[in-house]
Amino acid sequence: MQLDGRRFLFPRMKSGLLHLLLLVGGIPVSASADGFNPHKVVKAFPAITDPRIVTVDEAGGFVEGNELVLGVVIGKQARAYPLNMLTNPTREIINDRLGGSAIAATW
Amino acid sequence: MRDVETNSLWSHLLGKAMRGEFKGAELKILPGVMTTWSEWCLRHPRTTLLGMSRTTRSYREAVWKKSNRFVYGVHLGAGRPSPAVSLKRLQQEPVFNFESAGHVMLITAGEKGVRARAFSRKLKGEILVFSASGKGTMTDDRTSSHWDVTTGECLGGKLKGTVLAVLPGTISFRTAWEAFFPEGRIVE
Repeated sequence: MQLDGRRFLFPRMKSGLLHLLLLVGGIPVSASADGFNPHKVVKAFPAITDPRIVTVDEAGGFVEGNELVLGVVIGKQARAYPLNMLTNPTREIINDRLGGSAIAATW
Repeated sequence: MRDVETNSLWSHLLGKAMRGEFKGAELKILPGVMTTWSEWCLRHPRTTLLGMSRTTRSYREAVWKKSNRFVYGVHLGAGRPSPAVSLKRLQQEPVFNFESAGHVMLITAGEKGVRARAFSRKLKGEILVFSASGKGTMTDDRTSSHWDVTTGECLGGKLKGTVLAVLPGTISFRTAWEAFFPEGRIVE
């Protein structure tokens, strides 16, 4: 994962919503960040950098059909992140790689 | 969230560094899809998935029954108001055309509103208006071509083979979207 030519990883997000972030280099700085007042900033948890990824066959019936997932496709590769694996504070950011891109799935 | 290398503090929803060395820098937000595992597998039978232990069993299709609590928000880029549409509205109108800040958009929602995705309605300089035309398909007003509501791909008709541009968006708790985008419009 690179930004301005430097690698970096996300250990944790505080709470809330689902996103997929693609980390790319040379992103211009444009908007003001003034007025940022988070209610609480917690201590960072260890970064998840090598998550276990399995095929549908390997997963078997472990994930049930009505469970919600966050899905993304990059190039010809598709990956799903079941929400029910992301809710613990230590799990809310998954640093991953897909289709040659460094991504972070966050909840 | 923080990055390990500089300990800068980032907003997860904005994808932007708010404090620290990277302050002001932004990450590209990918157009992910939130849906059920069964629907995802139908679309992507060769998918891989995260294989960690469960931390909860709460997040299932039924969570969207409380649709008033959720919106589908579209990221239009830094400094631009980010519009959102209530999930309840999308459940009522699963092919939803609208415009915000000069952007002509389309949000499509799956059955029961469990899956949503945003697209641009501008194609080769023309603005299209879409309407639902059957299970999983829609048609445009200019050519009556048939389109896949999930992928934005034209399946048949004059525009066959063309694909609508996907816009980054996410299903979000309403209160969270309002907090992060106080200037954004929520279509009820």
